[in-house]
Amino acid sequence: MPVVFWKELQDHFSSLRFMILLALIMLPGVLAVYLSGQAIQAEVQSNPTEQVFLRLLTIESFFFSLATFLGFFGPLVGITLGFDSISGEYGRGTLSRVLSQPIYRDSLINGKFLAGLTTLAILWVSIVLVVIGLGITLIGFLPNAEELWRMLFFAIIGITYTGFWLALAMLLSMLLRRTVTAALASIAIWLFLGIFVGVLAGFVAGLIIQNPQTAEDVTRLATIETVLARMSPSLLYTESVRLLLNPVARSLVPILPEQLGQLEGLLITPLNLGQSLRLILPMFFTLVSLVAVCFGIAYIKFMRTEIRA
Amino acid sequence: MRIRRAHLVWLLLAALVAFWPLSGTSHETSETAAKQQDIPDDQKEPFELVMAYNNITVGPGQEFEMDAEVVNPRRASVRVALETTSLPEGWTAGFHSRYPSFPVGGIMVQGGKNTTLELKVKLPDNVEPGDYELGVTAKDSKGEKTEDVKIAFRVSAKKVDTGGLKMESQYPVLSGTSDQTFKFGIDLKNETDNPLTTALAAQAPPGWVVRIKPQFEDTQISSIALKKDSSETLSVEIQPPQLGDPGDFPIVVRARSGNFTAQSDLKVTLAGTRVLNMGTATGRLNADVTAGEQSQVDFLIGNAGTAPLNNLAFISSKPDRWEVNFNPDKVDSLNPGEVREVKMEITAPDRAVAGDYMLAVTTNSPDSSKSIDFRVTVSTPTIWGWIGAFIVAAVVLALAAVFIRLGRR
Repeated sequence: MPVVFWKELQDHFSSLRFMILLALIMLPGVLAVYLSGQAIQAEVQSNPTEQVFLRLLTIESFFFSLATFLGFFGPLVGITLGFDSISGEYGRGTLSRVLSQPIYRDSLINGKFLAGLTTLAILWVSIVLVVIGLGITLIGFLPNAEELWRMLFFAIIGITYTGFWLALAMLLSMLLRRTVTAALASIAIWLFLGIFVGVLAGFVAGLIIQNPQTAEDVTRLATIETVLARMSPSLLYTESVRLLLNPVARSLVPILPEQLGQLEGLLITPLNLGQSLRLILPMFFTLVSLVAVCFGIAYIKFMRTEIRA
Repeated sequence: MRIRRAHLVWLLLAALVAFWPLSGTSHETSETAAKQQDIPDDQKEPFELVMAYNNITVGPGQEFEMDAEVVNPRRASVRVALETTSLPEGWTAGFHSRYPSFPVGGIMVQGGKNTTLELKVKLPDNVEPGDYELGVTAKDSKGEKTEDVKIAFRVSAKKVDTGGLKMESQYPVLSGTSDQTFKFGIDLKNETDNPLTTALAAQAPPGWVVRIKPQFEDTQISSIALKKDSSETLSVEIQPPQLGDPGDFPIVVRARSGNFTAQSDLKVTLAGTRVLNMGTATGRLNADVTAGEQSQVDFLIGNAGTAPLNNLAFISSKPDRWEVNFNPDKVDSLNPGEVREVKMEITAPDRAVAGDYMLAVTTNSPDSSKSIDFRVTVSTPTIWGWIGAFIVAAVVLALAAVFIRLGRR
């Protein structure tokens, strides 16, 4: 397996495709952080200094915040790394030759997946480190422990989320066998889950509750919409990142009027790290299990396929 | 018939007898008048002094005026010296010319004419009630005649109401600060049966401005015509000097028309103003601070008012976790015109984001407070810039190393 892992890693890092994607993500990312830093400096008096580094990631200074940007284009990196991993080998006819070496079949797919995941991890960690480095330069002090922890968990969620797309692309590449088809299918799913699920969820919720009139109806409509949209992993990512990077946030579903009484006297203060993590735990586990399911199917499928030269 | 004729004759005779003396005396008076003119000057009195009043009742502190007429019966003019003698203690008295009124010691009267002077007598405030006597001596220059006139005064315990012109103010004492304009309402009353043109004048401490105006008009007047038995309300505006010292200031408004005078004693009580000023010596209201380090900004406080300011304390409204100390942190009292320097030490927290902050500094005293805003530019220690750049460079280098290490085939 280590042989496959290192070989795959070398392949990723030497491919022009990956270089272009890295530049495509890094440059706007750095720009977004720089502009966020400028925005923070401009309205310096009203900002609390506790979460300044997190605000670097969430301020929408350049059409989008860095977190949103990564949430939208991160999947593309995962797809790029995965869509030709198996089908490419089929296409070039190299799979049987590789497997004729003393390499187990599972170490091949494991090694390919782990190499992809490691590449993603390097990408995310380097982005976060660049954010911290630029942040120190722009803001002028070091991030505190809480901010570092939250950024670490942000990176972990990001890796898991892009890991899902890697696993999905590998699964499709496994199932469809043709590289171009796998790539198109992956991109179609990416667009569907990233953009259309939200629209569709609103549409379906509108069908279920027509003419919302009372406050309760509106709340239920929003709840149904959220629940439906959560089928998309991109919403899971967005929600957990919002909870993680904005410690004041504590709920993502609308609050019913009868629940409002229970919240009386609640102060809008930042939650501590543990509480924020508890809020995102379900979403994180869903993401992890999605990765596991996709990779599991790909794994089983790969183990059972007949491979001929 | 004869008898009748005889009666007629007797009647005629009787009428003659009855009317004879009458026509005779009338003839005689015209003759004596002619004779008097014919009397040579040296047989006539050189002058006569006619003092208008006697047994006058006046009150303490009052001023009494009366006409003194010197008559010259002779054909030649006469020079008469006038003086007051035997003046009760504390009294002032003297002869004045009619108008313009100057103190005079003697006059010259043309032949057959007379001249009127004014005797003004001013009684002291503390004169005991009782009977007093004032002596006036008139002497002609040739020493032919010396006339002594004693004028008796009865001094009453209270002032005597003289009537004529009256001036009253409903609120004769006003108080305030020197930046105010004080407005007094004064009723001027003509109690005589003649219309009076009254000259108005005010006497105020130096630096004070007094304007006398009709009640609802904005014109400054120095005289006013009053109809008989009428009254007019005047508005007296008094403007103290800008930096008037606190205290009581008397202002006297006088009205005068011929013999009639009236006066109104007004008083303005000035309280001191407390004007607190704050600023910096250079006028700059910005400061540069490095995060985590102390830096000093000086500002000045001054009292531009007329009363001392007490118990001044400094308060700063500052961003979270900033530290602002003042030295001195308290000023017990700031006298008028005094300026003091206060040193302000600003410490921005370590975790202050670089940028511009507003720092409002307020000087507070029980009487007045003033606030200025400082614009504090926080720069962060350059070391953090280097560390940040170092981290970015390290990430780029590490990525490059990964590429080189793994990109080799």
